[in-house]
Amino acid sequence: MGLKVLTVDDSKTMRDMVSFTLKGAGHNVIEAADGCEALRVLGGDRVDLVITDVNMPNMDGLTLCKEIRSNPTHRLTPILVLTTESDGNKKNEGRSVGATGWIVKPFNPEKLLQVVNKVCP
Amino acid sequence: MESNSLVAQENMGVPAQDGQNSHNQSMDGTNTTAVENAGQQQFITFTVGDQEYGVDIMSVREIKGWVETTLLPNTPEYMRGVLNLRGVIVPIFDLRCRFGLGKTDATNLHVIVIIAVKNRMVGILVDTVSDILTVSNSDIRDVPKMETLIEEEYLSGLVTIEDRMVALLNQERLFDTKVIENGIAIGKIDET
Amino acid sequence: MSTNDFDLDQFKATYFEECAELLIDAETRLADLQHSPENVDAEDLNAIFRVVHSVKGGAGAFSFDQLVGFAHIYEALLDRMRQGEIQITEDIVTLLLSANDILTNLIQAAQNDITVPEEDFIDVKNKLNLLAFDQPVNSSTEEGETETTISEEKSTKKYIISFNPKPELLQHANEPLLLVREMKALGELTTIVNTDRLPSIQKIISDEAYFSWVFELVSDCSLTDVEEVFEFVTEDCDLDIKIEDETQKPEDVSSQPTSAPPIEDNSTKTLETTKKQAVEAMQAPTIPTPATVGKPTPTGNSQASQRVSSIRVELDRVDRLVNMVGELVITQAMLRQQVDNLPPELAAFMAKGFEDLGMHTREIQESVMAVRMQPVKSVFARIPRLVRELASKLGKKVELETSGEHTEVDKTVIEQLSDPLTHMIRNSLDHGIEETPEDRKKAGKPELATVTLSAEHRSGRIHIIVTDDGRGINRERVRAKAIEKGIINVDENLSDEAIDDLIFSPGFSTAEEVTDVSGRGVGMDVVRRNISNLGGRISVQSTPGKGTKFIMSLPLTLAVLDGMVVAIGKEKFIISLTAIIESLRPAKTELHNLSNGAEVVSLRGEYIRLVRLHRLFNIPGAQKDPSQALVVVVEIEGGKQVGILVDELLGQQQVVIKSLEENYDPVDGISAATILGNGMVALILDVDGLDAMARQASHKQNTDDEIDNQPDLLTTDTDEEKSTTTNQLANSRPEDQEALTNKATEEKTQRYEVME
Repeated sequence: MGLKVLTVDDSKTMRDMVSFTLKGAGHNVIEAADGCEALRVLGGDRVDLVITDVNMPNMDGLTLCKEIRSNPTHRLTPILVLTTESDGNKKNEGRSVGATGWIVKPFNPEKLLQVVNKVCP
Repeated sequence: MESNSLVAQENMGVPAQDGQNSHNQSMDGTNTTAVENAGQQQFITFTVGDQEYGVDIMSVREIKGWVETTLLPNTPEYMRGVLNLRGVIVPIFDLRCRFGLGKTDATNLHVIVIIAVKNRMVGILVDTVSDILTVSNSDIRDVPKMETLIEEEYLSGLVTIEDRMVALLNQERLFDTKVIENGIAIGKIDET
Repeated sequence: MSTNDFDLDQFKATYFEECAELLIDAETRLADLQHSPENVDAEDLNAIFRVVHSVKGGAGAFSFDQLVGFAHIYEALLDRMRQGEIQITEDIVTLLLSANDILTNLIQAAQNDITVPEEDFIDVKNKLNLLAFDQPVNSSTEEGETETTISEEKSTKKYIISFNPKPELLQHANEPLLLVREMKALGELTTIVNTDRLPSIQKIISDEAYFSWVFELVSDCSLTDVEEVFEFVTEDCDLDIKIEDETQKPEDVSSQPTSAPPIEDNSTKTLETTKKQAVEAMQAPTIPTPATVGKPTPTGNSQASQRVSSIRVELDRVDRLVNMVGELVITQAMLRQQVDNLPPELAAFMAKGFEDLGMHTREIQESVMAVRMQPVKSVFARIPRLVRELASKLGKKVELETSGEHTEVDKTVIEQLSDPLTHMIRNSLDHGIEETPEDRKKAGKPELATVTLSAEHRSGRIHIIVTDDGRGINRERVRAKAIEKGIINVDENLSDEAIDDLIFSPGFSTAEEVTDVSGRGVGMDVVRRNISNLGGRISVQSTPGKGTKFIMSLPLTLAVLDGMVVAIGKEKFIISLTAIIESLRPAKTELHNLSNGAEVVSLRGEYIRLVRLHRLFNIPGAQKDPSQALVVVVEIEGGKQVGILVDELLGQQQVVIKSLEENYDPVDGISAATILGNGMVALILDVDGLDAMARQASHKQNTDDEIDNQPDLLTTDTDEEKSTTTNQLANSRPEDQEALTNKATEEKTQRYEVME
């Protein structure tokens, strides 16, 4: 039973890697290059998980979190924030806007799946 | 002209290459002829005058009847110009001429065999296409050292089928860029 | 524990491709900063930050440690800058530029799988470090994130975990049950649920957390493992983990578990109230005073509305499309021709349809070509760095000004632009600009030299112009050198333009004078050759003491061409319409034969050298008498004109350019091929190449190479003289006389051919 995951990152490399990893684990993945596109892609559809980068043009990941949380449809959708910042600041920021958890880069496929498991039933 | 039936009026793709390739199961590993790692090979054979030549079927892309080509200026005599193969410009070489036997007086009964040489596509002008030949590697004999003929380095082997002898072309050598360049150089010298 | 089944390498190509794009973006924006450091666009800084951030992110995944290390510091500095903590000064911009260069080098190194010696960039790295972390050396943050895993001995322990979720936990989409599941995976778990807070069912609010738990976990896992289970929820619950039957630090870890302390704790946030600022705050969380960054741009809204929605398409697909449209154009032309052969009443019936078809085909073609059009910006973006590097290497002060970087040109041209452009810039800096700033001062110029790079569309072509305000071409020296190299004769009388043009002569620049900069053994002749292979031209204009200007003119696309179909004997060729000036049938009196074997046509007082295509290409059955044939006057490199002798013009046509070299080798005088309406291949003439061939041909006949000069010489003659025989012309110059005696017989036969 695959999850439907939206991955948001301005870096195609990162999107490709996340996508590849998740697909390999049997999940369905949709991609977006920034917050704006993510919201557009999301529309009113439910997804099981959102994985987003923080630093992106047009709309950054934290704003995206907030936007998603403010939409009743996605109120309880787990959101994971991809971050290179290992300091608490970004994590706190994430938390304050409704992120469920975070994945600290560098990207590691195993770690990703582990964290996805952690927040998705 | 019996073999001309192989050439449909227009273009004729070579069908089922993969299928035929499945014969290429290894039979023995002791083989030391020019081509290794496969027990059998298939060749498309064609004639130029009395001589029969063969090329690896895997390299053949298409066989078509002779059409008028566009000449390329200042190229060797055996370079018969270029033609349009569905939008791709393909040079045509006159095999007879390449072997120093004079220019072929091409008619629409003559045949162009389009083959892949490395990453290029070239056409060879021959008289007729005769056969598809399946040969055991062990039946391919080395080309004897013949002092007078330049052909030897352009051949990869010889096969005798019944009473016919088929010379297998080493197209990589025959139409190698450098060889072609040399050809041009030679051609130029010949002119002057 | 392995990633064996997951080969990261497959993403490397994408990564490096992406890096290349990112770097161009950063370069461009840095150039903006450089130009106006006092008026910084906050979005520029943000964008550069994101570039470095993305580079670092990918580098981390691929374990390009050196790259990660450097990007980390660079990123940290940019972060401080965009938050206004560091004032932007000229020095800082210079530092950023060097940092960017190093980043580029490190990316290249990573791509080539090599390491850059640390000492190559330690200076910049230290400077960055100092600014980013207020620390000189690498005592910075946890570079590479060496997680200090205190190896706890593997012994079975009993953890007592009391877990009391807050409502936020559920609001953040965390799920207590999943935490339980995770703990269960660690060892033996006993659970005590406390439902004291559970209200009566009517009062239940779904998002509220009513339960609390006490878990007993018996496991040989470490404390960190247990903490990790609650990694995401530590803030959203009251958590207390105790270890029983253990002497080892049974501390309360209810607060922040892992992770280092934040770098800037001092920067307390002052969240503004308006929405805009809130959005900004999300992006740059710790804003003390946004003073130095200028007006903070609301990243969310304005950018979104500006955004041009675009998709990324593989070039292959576009190429296939372009190819097929090319085929469509050919098919359409083919059908068109067939229609002309129909009986008139049928033809008329079809005509309208074909007109529409033709129009639509053309439109599709234009749209498809437009897909491949790109601004030259991507090529221009590399130039500032080049100029910086060269200037510092040469000890010159140079400022680069660019304009027209949004001028669009086909992708095929973009790809070919970089090399000649680089060479032109190198040449300008190396040879154009005075040796030292002092030299400039002496010449009454500002110390800072200016090199201008511009692009513009002009009559269906793109012009790329490189101008410097240097010393100009030293014609005496060029002349002397050309004589020394045997390119011209000692007593040859050349116009200024002709002398300037000598720098493009083969063999002019040779290894001995090649400097470190202009070097690489490539002379301007090669540049000209390469450009003309693209159907382009390059010329130079120079004013001594004032500067030099290189003008490169290229077709907008290398995929299609408006051509004139010409016939010679039974052969058909295409001449690019942009090269054609006019065509004419000369009167016999307008034809002249020069002593050195060159034939010329006089045209309104100018003399145009005749190129006999049938002779160069050995085409039988061609019209050999120019007065019975046609002369197509074309412009060649350097703005010179030659006349190509053809039998007749068959009409103009847009043709799709097909590579001859895909399956064969280059052929002299031929630039490419195309397919005509009848399916036959026609060759596209390379007029510059033909000119070179014609020169060589006459060179063979005559070692005395006066060809270039001849028309200039002739223009001084009067009309009567012009119509006289070449013998008289030849008599006017000693070399010509010599030439005549040397090759007399050969020439005579030639002349008869022309003059009879």
